[in-house]
Amino acid sequence: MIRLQGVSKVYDGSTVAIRDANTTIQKGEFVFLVGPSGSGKSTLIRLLMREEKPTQGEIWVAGRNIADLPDWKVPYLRRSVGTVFQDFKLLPNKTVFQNVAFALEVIGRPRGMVAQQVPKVLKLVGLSSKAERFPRQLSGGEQQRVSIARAFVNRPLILLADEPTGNLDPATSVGIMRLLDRINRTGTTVVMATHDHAIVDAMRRRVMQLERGRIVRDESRGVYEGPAVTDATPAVNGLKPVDPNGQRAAPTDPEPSEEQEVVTAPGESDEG
Amino acid sequence: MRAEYVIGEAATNLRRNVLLVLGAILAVFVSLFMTYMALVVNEVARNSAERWQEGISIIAWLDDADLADHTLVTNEVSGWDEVKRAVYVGKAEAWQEFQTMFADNPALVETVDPASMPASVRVELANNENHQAIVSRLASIPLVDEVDQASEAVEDTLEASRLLNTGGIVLGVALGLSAVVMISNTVRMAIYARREEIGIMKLVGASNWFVRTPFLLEGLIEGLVGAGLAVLAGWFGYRWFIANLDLGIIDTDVPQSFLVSRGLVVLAFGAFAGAVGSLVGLRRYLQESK
Repeated sequence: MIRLQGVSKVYDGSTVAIRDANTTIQKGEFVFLVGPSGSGKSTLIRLLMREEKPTQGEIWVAGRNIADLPDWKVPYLRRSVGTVFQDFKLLPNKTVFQNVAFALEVIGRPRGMVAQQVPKVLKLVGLSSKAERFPRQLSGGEQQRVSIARAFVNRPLILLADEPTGNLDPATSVGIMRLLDRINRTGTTVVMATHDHAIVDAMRRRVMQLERGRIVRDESRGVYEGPAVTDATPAVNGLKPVDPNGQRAAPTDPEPSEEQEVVTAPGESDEG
Repeated sequence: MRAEYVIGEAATNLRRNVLLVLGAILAVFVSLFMTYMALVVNEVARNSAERWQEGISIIAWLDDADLADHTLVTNEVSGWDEVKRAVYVGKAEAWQEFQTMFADNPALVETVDPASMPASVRVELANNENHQAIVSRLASIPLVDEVDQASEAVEDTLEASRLLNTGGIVLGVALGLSAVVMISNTVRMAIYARREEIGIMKLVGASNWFVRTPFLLEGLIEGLVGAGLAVLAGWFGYRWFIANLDLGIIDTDVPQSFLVSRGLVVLAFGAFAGAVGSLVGLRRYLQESK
């Protein structure tokens, strides 16, 4: 599904974001990209969605080398690659339903299909009852569910998630992970960049660790902190027991939403 | 749904930035109004000049003498190769001509003594290139008192119309450029106002043309509305002008078909300015990955 061959990305001719990355991700895999800030996780995600072009190397996605995909074909690539971000990227003046429908409308899908697919995917993410709400009326976790619904409504082959739980408290994050797991089980390849130890350790999926732009570890049922890290930055080690991104230092209030039910390890959850 | 969507988005863009949109339309209007008027005035001048040129181009005023001598001179001039036609206008005819010319000014007509009207030979040349030579040859004839060149006035008018035309076009082009810049600015503002939406559209795979078309339409509408106003203002302004101002000998009539065809040219130019403006505005903000 995804194959990187000697991929490097250099910004402004000097800042090296990715160095000689080589890897293959099979269809239906769930892959965590871990590593400290600036290690190249986000750049890798951006390369996979052709937000950036590699300075060197080949990136094969769904049988096409997207490194030399002409610009006008990029929209068609994006239709088979869903994306989810830390900041949700929802349109504030559109309802939940409209936000999700937008993704189908702007690629010219017929109305009937929109009317059929949007409720389906809203049901999948557990927001059927909130279809007419606006993003500001939703909790962070719910907003992220909308954003996942939007990314998935077109049934992409690949779902890329760049720190999707970065703005959420642990309980809510677990709910989001259950959702991504569920989407993964439909056969969608999921690649997720994260700082979240707890999630990675609980899910035990393939873990790819990046350090200064290099893939330094790649384990099939890995945890966040691998034993074989050679190039760890002292800053990370110094902060160790604390979450390195520091975004969840204070305990957040419990969310009065569908995520409440979830406290079990997400990997073991079994949904329909 | 596609067309509905595009028109709806363009309308939203236009509504969101009313002041800027009006500014852009005004810029198009002013520039194209100037251009349209320059075209019309030029046509008026050209028409009049042509009508004058059809007739006599040189007038040789004759000393008072016998009619026989005058006839001799006229015949001689008629015989020159370069001369197409030489017409003798006697004192009586000159007087008549004078009376018609100043019919609306009887006081002036009364002060003039018919006997003082000079006879003349009106010369039409086969070819304007020999103009100077003929003028001096006429002047050398003893009976010829003075030589007037009607063509000087014609030339002056043509020259003035050329200047007016060039000035109008230069001004029109300069203002046209500013209109393009204004349009590209409004489109840029519209893009900026919707940058979030555009970002998401690109994220979920909307094609480039799907993203661009509403903005292109916005610019096109601004260009066309400005041009439409310019044509309307030009049309009615011209009507008012010929109805209220009498320029006497200058023939201000321009055929309707001319007004219509140039109006269409102006409209096309407005649409073109709109399209170019929005493309310029779109270029920077919708660039693809590096």
